Amino acid sequence: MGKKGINKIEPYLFILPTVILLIFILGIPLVNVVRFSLGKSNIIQGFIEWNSFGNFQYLVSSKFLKALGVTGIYVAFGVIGTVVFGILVALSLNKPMPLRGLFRSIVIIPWIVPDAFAASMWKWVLNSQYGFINQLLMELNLISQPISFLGDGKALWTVIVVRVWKAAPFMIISLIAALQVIPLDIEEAADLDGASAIQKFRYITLPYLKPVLVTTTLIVTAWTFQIFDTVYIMTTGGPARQTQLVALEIYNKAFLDYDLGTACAIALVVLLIVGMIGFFKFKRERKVEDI
Amino acid sequence: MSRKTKRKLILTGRMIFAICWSVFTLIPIYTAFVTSLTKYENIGKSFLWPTDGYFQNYIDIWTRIDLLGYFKATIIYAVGTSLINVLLATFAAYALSRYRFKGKVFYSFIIFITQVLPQVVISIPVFMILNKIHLYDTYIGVIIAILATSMAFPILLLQSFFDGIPVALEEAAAIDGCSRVGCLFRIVLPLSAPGIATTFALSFFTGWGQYLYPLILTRSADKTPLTVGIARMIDNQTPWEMVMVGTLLAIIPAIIIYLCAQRYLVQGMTAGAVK
Repeated sequence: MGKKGINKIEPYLFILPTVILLIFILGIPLVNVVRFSLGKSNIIQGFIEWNSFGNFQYLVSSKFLKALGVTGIYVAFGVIGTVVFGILVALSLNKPMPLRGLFRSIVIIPWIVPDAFAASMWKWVLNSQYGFINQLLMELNLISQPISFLGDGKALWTVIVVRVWKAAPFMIISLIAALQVIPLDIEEAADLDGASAIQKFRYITLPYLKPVLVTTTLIVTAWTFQIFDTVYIMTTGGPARQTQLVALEIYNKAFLDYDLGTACAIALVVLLIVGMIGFFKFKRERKVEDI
Repeated sequence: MSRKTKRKLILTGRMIFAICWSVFTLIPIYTAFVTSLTKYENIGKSFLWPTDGYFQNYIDIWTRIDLLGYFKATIIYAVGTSLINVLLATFAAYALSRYRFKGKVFYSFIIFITQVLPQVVISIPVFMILNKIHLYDTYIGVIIAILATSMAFPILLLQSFFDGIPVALEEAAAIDGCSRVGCLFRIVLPLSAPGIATTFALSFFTGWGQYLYPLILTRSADKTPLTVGIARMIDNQTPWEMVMVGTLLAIIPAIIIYLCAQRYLVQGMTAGAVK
């Protein structure tokens, strides 16, 4: 009986260190996010006084709705770009071809480059005066005036491209692994039956890829939603708040405006959205495992 | 069109696309390389090839900014994060792999959620807690904060490794009087050495690239990592040749490790995130 008793607590002892850390660094902070969002709060004193949901008024202000819209565009196109190019690169590198190993090594490199350095390099590449892209386009006489990639009307699309650059390797790795599982004889049979490349993709490749595609898309969505480093370094939200993502909004409210309450109210919205994505992905994976 | 020409056409298309994407991938790194070898006054003149061959930049950078100090802080964050992550993940993954217990699903869910939890959301209360317990502006404070959002990956990764090791080995050892912890350290861990190494490397990269937490949770110069220190040089009068030298020096170690251990890292990454 004694032995059995130990067996019952054993697993809890194994997870205890992580549980303590989670409570300390995740549980308490999350409770505090809720608490601070409910009243006037600042970073030094914490919760000061109840202000009857005053912080949440900011959530319906045009300023915040614009940030939400910017984030929506950033996430939507960032994810679509990552998925589309991820699939294309994975497909092009799936079957034998010359230099395949080299290509595979290269396309994964951005995954190793931290966001902060991706930001500094791209900011220079896209520099409106001496950047590589502008110099090249000028040299080739494709443009007569340098393009201000991080300027009015273009900055958001530029940071989206950088996001795709950074996120695509994860998609590519996952999809190449998934593509490897497709049995060769199915494709050969389809070939004999005269199926076109598009038909093969639609009826053979895609069904095989779907489970992996859904989970990776969910996680890339969640990750894109929380991007802070690259955009903060490249644009600090500018010009004229055109790249002011919700993540930057939280940072600004808390550390520049010292309005902790509002920052936490925004944080709650983000948590809700990301939590839902996480929940879907978790449920999906458990289902896959059960089968 | 015959089958053969069709095949050739597809292969050519694949090649062209792979080349284009590789060029897109390498543009920023190549540009950084060219600029890092260019004299300040020649920036903007020679952009395609490193015509200056000005290696002096690589010497000057160490006096222009406290690069050595940034490296030191970065290494402390990276090693600290990966050591603690591997240790915690070993225990947690073992519990998830070998036991059934009440609350297991909930626990896995929480671990899972930390993967998608935005750092910026909890950065503020974390900042306040660390302040309260006098861990603001300390290495360990930053490392603890990093752990919270980076522990999921190591746990899921090691769990998948442990799942692959037959339980029979441990049962046999248990009959010989080996305790559970003994089994873990003497049988399971040695057998999952590649998994441990992969976990360590991936956590190391995570710690290496942290930006937001060191930015918010530290103040003193010696706690500034490469990410923050180099980004700080970017303003209206950015010395781009210096920024590029710093950036290259900061990412090259990681790229070399990746190229050497590519197979394991890529495998580990798919095992940890997508099952």
